Amino acid sequence: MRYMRSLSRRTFLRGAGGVTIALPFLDEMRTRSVWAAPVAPPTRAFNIFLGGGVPGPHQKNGLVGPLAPLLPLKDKMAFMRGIQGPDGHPVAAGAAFVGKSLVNDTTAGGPSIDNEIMRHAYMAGRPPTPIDVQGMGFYYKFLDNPSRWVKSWDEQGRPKGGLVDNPADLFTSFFGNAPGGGPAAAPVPMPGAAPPAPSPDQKLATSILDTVVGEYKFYTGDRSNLSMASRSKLADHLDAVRQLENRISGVSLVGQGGGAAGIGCTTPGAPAADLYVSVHHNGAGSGGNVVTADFVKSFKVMADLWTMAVTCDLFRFGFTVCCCAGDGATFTGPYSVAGQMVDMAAAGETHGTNHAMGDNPADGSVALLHNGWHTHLFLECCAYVMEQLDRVTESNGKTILDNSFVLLGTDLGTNHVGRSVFYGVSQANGKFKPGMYDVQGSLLDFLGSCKAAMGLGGAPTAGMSGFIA
Amino acid sequence: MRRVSFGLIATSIIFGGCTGQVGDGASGGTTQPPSDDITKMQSAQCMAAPLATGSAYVRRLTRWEYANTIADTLNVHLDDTTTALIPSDIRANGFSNDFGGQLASFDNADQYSKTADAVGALLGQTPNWLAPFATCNDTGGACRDSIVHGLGLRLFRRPATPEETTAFGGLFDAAIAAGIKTAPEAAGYVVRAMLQSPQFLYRLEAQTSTGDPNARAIDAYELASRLSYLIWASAPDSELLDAAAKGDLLSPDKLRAEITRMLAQPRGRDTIQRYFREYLTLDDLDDATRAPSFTPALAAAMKKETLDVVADQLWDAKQPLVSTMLTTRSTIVSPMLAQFYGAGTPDANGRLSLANSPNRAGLLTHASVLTVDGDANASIVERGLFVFRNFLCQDVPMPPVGATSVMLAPDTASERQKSDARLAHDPCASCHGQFDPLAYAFEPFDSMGAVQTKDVNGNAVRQDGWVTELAKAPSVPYTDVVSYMNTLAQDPRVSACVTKKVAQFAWGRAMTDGDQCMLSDIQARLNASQGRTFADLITGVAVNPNFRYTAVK
Repeated sequence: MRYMRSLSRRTFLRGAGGVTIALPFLDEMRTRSVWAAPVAPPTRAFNIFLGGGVPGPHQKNGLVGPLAPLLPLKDKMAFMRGIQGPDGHPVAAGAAFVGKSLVNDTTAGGPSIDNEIMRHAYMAGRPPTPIDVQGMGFYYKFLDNPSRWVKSWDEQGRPKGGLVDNPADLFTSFFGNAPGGGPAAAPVPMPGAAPPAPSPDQKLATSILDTVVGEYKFYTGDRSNLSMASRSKLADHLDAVRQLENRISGVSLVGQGGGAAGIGCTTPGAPAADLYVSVHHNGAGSGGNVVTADFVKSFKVMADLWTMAVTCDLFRFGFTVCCCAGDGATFTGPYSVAGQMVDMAAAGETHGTNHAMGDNPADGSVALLHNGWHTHLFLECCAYVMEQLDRVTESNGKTILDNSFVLLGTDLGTNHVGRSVFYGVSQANGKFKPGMYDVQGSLLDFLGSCKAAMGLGGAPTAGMSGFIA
Repeated sequence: MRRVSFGLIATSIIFGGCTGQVGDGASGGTTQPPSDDITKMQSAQCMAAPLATGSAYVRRLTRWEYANTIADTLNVHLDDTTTALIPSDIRANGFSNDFGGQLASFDNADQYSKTADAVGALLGQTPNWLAPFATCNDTGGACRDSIVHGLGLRLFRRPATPEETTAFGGLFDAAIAAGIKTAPEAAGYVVRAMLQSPQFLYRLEAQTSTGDPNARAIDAYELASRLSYLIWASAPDSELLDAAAKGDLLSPDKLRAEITRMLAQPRGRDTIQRYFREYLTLDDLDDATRAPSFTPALAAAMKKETLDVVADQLWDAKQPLVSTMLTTRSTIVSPMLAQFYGAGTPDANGRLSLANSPNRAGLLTHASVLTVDGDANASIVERGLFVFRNFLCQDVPMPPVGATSVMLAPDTASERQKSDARLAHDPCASCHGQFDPLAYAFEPFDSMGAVQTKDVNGNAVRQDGWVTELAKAPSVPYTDVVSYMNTLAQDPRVSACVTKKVAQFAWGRAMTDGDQCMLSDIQARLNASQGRTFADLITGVAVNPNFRYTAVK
């Protein structure tokens, strides 16, 4: 049953008047940690997305120029050139990890590949981790058409997992107020360690959330009278409330649920409170000016937290979004593009830069140059996530990146067309071969070939098999 | 900018393989004369249609529904700062109450928690706030249960279950055990928990089958909530809950009487304004930037004009929805906007006749709507697509590879000349031919909605055109904006599309092919109504048989 949690987080005491009293649940949670390292690395899948595409002219010279951030991953990833995807931001962004066109703004043409891998790998349809799917990153046009930034879709093609864009929120939702702040990361408290005594206010705050959690559990559990789709939506909300509990109670998710904190799991330092750089708008407004250095710093801090949470087995499926397609965001300030400092403000607003470039930009054109700066920036963020996943070696001697299915993808090729959309896939424990591949076929063909290699059925499409081990 | 353009303005484009999608066809000659029977579809061909369409889904309160609900149940009126704590609504499929955009995230949980805390704090400052919910005021078990039941009835919109009474009563007791001294203080914690619970935040309905594998008749309390959120965007009041308790809502006559009562309340006026804010994307004006002269004050005046006209003519004066919306020659404007329009001086109430203004007729000629193109070019493409999508409920696919870089007319050509070039170029014409002519009448308006005789490049402007038909049917020509609006008002596709849009807003989801019978039924009820008003259309939704069923899939 996908909605049942392995850990009961509610304690009831029978009061004198026959009333059940909801008490803070924390003590019970802390004694239920499952701490043994897994025998083998678990099945994981992550979608790493950048909006706006990697234009064909940038791709042709390989991992240089705008694609230089990917160079450190050349022996880790299989990169694809030549995939034909759909045209237009909403359609293409919604199809990026699905392969099929959207039904509407909030319904994909089917599940995303990570969701298919999840349901194939886990009998219950979901992993035994505290969080099913965790998103992280920036999408400034957040309030209009979620298909642009939703990068995981469930079996009904509904959005799965939330996108967190505030480093402080990401930290507290994972690690609560766990010690560890400061430059030296503290080890995760061992299970059974006595928690600090909560204040009366904390008791009632956690009792409120405890009561709330109980209600969500009822409506997502076996006695619920809701449809499975409705339960799934409330289950996402339940996850969010639980993460909120962590912040209020100061309790880390590490060690909770059926997951197992892996090698290298430590509680990182809490991020500074001034790292939030997002502006939510619906397209009527603008993402505004974003200082590039602040953007990169904020993203990388979140990437550190997100990958540490993977290391600690808080989730095995998730996605990251590194901006920007029709976001109305303009990056400013100095930035190093493949070793050369540029003034990002000169590149203008990201979407406008794409339009200025057009569908068939000439080599050496200013618009193509400026687009390359944005491409480099977004790929730097994407590469950073994958590099962090590559820093942790697991029990089989391979890194998390090596063991996981990590799919780097974007929405478009050049400007607003799906010609030669750029993708990359990790080795997924030996299923894919690193390198640069010129493939022929559609996005659906490519994802189908990936699924075949991952053992989900079907066969690789002709022209799409060279990267499969 | 007002709206992000996707770049079809300055260049001509090529469309390939384009086929327009047929509208919903909700009107026409297939309907039978409507009866007052709310249990049967009005169309003979739909008598056996499913009573629940789509999949079973759950809707969360929007920001405005949350604020209304708090005000109407707890008498707590949130200021702008507190309202801003409520999670923002994500616009999906054109409306920000679409259930699909209501994603759950840590941010949401955090914001709901903060809002609940703020509401609890406001209650703490309000003497006797608990009185409407319980006749007692002590911390004993009986009073505790009475308080929880009273709060649950209003906040959960149905009687609390024994399990809920136990759970929330337990929180009440925990507060007392923690040192809270009074019942109102302890009840404040109960409210804070209830406001974060799924029974409050989500409009929960049982979705398990009771025999029919596809549909379940909702109960009286669920129907009360559907009615109240449809008409008031808020929770049922005591009278409606009483009617639910007595089973009155299951009686057609009493249901109609209740709908009539509800439509007479002030909240209905708010609802029509909310609908038009969404339908015409008027809230985009809140963040409008363009030319220096397009000031926030002017943008606000534009938005207010449309909202005032909607409330005044379509609600208060009960004028026919479609024809008034498209052809009204009177408006309500601020002095600033009157000067901008150059259409005379309004009276003391802002009322201004446009009878002598040849270019203005209906909401589509309000500056609030004419600014949809989002750039300085007053784009025929953007304006035409807006009419095509929102008044004919049709769409076209994205342009094919390379289309956006094809130049068919010089940059300095007028919008009409560029469109003529597109329509003369066969691959372009297949799609642009469907929607470009729907904007020709607006060429005498610049990108800010002011009247112009020449465009930004000095080209003379035209306003003649035609209303496009599908399947090679003859197009209907028009000579100017007034005749265009009259033509649109008579087009059954427009009425059907307006019905479809209102139904989408009412159901909180995009309509699909499976909804055709429901839509045709609502359309038939609207056509048979005396005034064909917005209220009649809302009534049509509420008395449609589907309104009393939920899918159980």
